[in-house]
Amino acid sequence: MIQEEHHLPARSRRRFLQDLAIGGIAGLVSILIAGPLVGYFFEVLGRSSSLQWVRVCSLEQIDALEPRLFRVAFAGENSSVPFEIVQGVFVIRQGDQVLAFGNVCTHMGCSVRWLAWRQQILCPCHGGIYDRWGNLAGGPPAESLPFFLSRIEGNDLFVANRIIRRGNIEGRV
Amino acid sequence: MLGSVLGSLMDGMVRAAESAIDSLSRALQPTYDWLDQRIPIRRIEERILFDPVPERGSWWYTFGAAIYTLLIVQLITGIFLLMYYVPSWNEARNSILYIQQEVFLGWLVRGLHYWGQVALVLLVGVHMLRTFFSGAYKSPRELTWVLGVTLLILMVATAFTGGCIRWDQSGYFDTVVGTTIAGWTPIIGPFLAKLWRGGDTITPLTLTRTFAFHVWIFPALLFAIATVHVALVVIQGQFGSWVNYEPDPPGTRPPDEDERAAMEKLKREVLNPDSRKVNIPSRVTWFFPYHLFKEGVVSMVVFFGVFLAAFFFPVPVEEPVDPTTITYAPASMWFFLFEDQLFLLFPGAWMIPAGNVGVDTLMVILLYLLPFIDRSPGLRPFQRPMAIAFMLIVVFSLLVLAMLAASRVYNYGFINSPR
Repeated sequence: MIQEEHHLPARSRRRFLQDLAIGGIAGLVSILIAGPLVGYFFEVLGRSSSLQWVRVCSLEQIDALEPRLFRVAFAGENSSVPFEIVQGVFVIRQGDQVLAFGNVCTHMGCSVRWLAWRQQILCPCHGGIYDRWGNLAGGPPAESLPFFLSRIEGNDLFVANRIIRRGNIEGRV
Repeated sequence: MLGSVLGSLMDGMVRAAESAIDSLSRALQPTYDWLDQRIPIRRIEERILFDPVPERGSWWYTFGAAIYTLLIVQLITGIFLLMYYVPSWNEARNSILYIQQEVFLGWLVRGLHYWGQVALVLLVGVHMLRTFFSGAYKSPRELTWVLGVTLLILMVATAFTGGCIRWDQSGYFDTVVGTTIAGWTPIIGPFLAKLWRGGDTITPLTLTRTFAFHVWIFPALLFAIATVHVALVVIQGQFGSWVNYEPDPPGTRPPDEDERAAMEKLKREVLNPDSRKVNIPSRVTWFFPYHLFKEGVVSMVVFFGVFLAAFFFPVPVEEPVDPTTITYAPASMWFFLFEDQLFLLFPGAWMIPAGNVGVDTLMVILLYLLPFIDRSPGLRPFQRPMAIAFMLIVVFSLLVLAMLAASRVYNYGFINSPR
């Protein structure tokens, strides 16, 4: 078996300074390595995407009873890889307004779908239920489907890559 | 007649093998001595190969070895998958299709990596329950347990990120749900989600970051901690379980030469104040070859199972990523099915963080604290009814939750008419 012996050197000023120097060197090297890496890793927290507008559909395509799902693609940013951010937009009329809201369930992020036979929007993951205007109607989610920032130009509906959580009525146009 | 012929044939084979081994070891002796003058291999041999290990219940002590074997299988198959896999937004799924369809035996290597993960997570569960029910987490083995819980978390994290970087529909939605759950964490959630995604939405950065965690950060930590975990087992002796201290039932064969020698050595070790072995089980034998043989058998059986699964159940490559799908129903990874059911049971803005993030955190904290909460000296299950009952309830609940989630059908997509 290994015999353990504790060599405790005498306490002296030289010994103390040496301990201090070892600690200092270790600390300095750690900071020099970890500092840049922490910055490198956390830098993404400060990133944001520029405002982009894309056309969704023409106003004739928008129904008053059934939310129609359209596919929009925003140009990807903050990456060396060329890519698109594809998103689904539900569009429906409510009175004289046009609503454009997302298809990402506010519960866990799955893609919701309109079920004509139930006249509701449902999530396939955990059964979140929304009405035709995207208002939360049941299931585990906590919020209604968020609106897209949207505008009408001529005969076309445009959405931006910004979402507005429900309750904020400025998302309606 | 035939028996005696076979017997003498067998004896002859044993003699031939022994003389071959003898001459081989004579030939290698100078090399061995040369090495031993530089590295203390004789002492390593003494310490690891000729370590006294318990005989009773020893088949139950083979899961750790099987887990380490599978970890190495995962490491090797993972490295070979890296020769073709591209962690790119547009190409990741194509590269997996290429592995699956074009590369010679690529489907098998990917299958081994996938089914290896299934076997690993299952075996880790069995290994942990064995440790729990045998009382092996108790003093002085608390740290071994704590490291084990850390390994469990790392294992699940590695398996989960591995599923994400498939980057087909299943991988994409696993990433979506995973980052969304992270986002539900109280206070720091939005930062965690953004840190993982590398931005506000899922982007190519999400894939490369998840990839870096899957292939390097988690496995490196996993192997480092697993090695310390195993070292602690060797240092403290592999006899934490109560079964090792039961007296021999009447009619048991008396200890043979090796068992007596192992017991003598163990007694000397326990008396040595520098040793961290504190108890003497009723019956021990050498680790090599007796226990190593059993570990080898179980590892081989497990690997054979993984191989058969990989051979007969190829892993699918699902549709390309499409967040606007109205037909694809995302499903949880199998080891998170209980979690998926918890999502259903805890609705709303307050219950989602409390029920999902909170329950998981509480389970992990309880697992970490187990050896410090249950400090009674008794090792037998009946001497700690509360702990046993609690664990049984937890395991039963997890299984029921998982079954409920697995049998749930919510894929409304197929009922809807396609666009």
